Amino acid sequence: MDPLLAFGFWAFVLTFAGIYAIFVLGLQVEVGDTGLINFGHVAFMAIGAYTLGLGLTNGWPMWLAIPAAILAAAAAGLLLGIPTLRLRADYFAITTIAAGEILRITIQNEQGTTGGTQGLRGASGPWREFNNDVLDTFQGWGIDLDRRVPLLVIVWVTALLVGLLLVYLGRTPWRRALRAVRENEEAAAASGIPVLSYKLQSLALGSAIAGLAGVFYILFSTTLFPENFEPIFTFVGFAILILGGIGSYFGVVLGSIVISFIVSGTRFLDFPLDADKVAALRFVAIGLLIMGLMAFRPQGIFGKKEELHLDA
Amino acid sequence: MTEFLNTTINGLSSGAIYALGAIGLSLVYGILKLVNFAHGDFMTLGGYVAFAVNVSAGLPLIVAILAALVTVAVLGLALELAVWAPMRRKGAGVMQLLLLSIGLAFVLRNLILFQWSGSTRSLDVDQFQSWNPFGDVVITRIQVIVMVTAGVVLIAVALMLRTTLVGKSMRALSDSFDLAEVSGVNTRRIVLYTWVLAGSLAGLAGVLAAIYTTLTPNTGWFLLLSIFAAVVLGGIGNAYGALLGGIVLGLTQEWSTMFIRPTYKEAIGFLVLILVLLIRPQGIFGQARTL
Amino acid sequence: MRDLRVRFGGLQAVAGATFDVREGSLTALIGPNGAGKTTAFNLLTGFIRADGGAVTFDGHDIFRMRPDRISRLGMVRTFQLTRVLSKMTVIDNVMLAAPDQPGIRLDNALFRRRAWRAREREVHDEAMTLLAEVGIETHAGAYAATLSGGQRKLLELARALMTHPRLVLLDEPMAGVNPTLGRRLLEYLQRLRAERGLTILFVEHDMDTVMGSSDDIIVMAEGAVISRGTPDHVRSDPKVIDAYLGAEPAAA
Repeated sequence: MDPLLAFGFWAFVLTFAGIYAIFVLGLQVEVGDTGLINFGHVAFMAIGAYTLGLGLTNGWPMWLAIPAAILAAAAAGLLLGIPTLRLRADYFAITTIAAGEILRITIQNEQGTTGGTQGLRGASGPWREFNNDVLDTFQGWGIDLDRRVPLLVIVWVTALLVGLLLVYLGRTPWRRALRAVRENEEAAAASGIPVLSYKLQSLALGSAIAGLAGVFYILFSTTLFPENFEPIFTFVGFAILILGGIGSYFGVVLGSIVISFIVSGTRFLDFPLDADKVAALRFVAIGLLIMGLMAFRPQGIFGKKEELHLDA
Repeated sequence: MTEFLNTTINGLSSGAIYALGAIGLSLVYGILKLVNFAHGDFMTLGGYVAFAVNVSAGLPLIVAILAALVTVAVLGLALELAVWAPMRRKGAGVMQLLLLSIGLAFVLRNLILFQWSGSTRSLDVDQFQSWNPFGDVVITRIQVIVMVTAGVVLIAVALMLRTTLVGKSMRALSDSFDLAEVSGVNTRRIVLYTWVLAGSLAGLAGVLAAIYTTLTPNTGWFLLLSIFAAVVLGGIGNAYGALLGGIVLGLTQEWSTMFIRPTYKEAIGFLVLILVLLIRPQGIFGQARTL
Repeated sequence: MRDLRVRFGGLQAVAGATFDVREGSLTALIGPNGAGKTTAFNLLTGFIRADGGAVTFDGHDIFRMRPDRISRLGMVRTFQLTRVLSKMTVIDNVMLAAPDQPGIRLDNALFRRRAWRAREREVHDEAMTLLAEVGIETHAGAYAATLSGGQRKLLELARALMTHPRLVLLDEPMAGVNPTLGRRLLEYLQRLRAERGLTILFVEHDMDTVMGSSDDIIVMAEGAVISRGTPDHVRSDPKVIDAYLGAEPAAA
């Protein structure tokens, strides 16, 4: 096996893991901290990705398009949350999938704007230039980098920064209020916490982070297809969340790497089977993992059993 | 007028499939508080079992349908005994079970993919025969099969729920588990019967869906959200509601194509779902329940 | 003299009840089971939406106001079936309720660290003091889920007092609490009333406590107020005797 080829492959897998890590960090804020089961999380990533894509294809500079993408995602979160956050947990979960699917179908249908199933192309120009500049700079110093390295590094640095930010926020009165909302809304209200406001803040923050993941997604895959943003993406995110432990940010990072390896990394192991069948088995494995965790260790690797609130 | 009749026929066909899928899902949700995300994959399995019997083994469609019903019913029972009942004994909550069902959905769907690969399959049914009952109104052979089969089964189920002790017990348990239990209902047995019913109907829905649309490992999964919409529309736990909800949803989706682009019709279903949950969460046919 | 005037009608559990509570008083709300006392609390503090009527508190119209806003205005309640934040620590439960926490806002939490760190220390100390006064300070670091029923009632009381309330609505605060501690709590509450002018409205079933310590008693039955006044007045009011004997033969 050509070592260089192998490196490129691992860079691919790890970058994808990093994007997932950011995505799930946003999910953790919603699920772990505030108890909002958001099955439509991928929709906000889609909004981030498509906003950036459409911005770039319309000539916006990156420094404008990227914040716009994140804000668009956050705004969408608020828009969804205002009518739906007062719903019971399982109804909210179903509503979020429905909303996400409506978005995806709309993207699919509005071919003229979004490229629909043909894909949104042409957004990669600015990033490619930037990437080449970075590579050239390093080359000037005598270091020959694989072309995939800059994105890999940027994604992971961002993931770690977001994680650290959330850990910092974790020790604040703000987060205490979020957790109170998760625990018992009436007790929180009796203590003076405006419950809906905190749920909205959580959803907005989680969606913004998902939007950020979307930004990296389009930089990573250069062409966007609506099929990339199906509910499966969120469900794999939940697998990561559960594996790492609901409530643990570090667990998210670990879980992302593990799951990404299961999904893509086992490609190198030799099985006496068709590639397609191996692919199917990988997802069987993930499904069994989710089931096993939920049955025997719902707190995941790093979650705390005493703080588990899934027995609602 | 032609368009109206055509879309009505389409709506009744897809609605019938939704109804079959929704009844089981609704009862399981109502009685066991389980939001079964694997229900769609039960349907897909039904479709593939029928495929295996009808195409691979060359047996008549009716045998294939029965095989599908039995297989999925058995699967439902097996899962209840091996997974759901033990989890309930452990005190698992709604969300935990929900997430577990998502994992199960992954497993089922991908095992199907493993076994039969992702290519589209068809059952041995005449895809092209159709009739023109009046003017430009079209009804296909497939639609007739779907509507007649589903219609017969749905009526039978409705009667069963209304007149038999088992049916009434199911409805009672769905309404209020504790009250029914205290009134002497053998909950254990009724729960098992519910899974048999839910599984069989899902299997049948899967076969009909395979005939009416296409059979891929994702067939049932793609229908699941619409079936959820039907369940919510009819009131969670309300079997009649699910039946009517399915038909109403099918009609609404198809009628909407008279005004908007047909590719949006699924989105209409989801919009209905959201609106119902926001405005009248007990469903159009349900009664307000205190939680 | 500011008072709380309440009138709510149309809701089945409470029909056309009207009463007011004098500032600085220790008022008891009694009545047979099902009289609507807890419902009254829920209506007053915004947890249930009243169909009609008016509620004023300290000059503010709080009819149909959100519970958290009512709480911040100074009217706080505890729950009959305790609602604690089980998977958070006892001290967090109390600290949550403190007023004026800059860190509770996201922008402050992110950018103005010094502002909220100092206040957080104050809040912590105050919370510990309150926990000590109700007697559960040794459990401060434990998860609230580990507390017994009576201890949860005490936790709710500490949490309510943490908000620096003007009027506190206690729903069966002594249920499940041993008599000695209960007496001590009552003395504590009376001291708060004397020192800080705290107004207390409490639901209680133990008639000795009620008759012995309240200034004022409101009696409800079947959703309406049937009597009002000093312990002596209420004790001898035939309507009250009737309500208790009629509604609950086993009540006495």
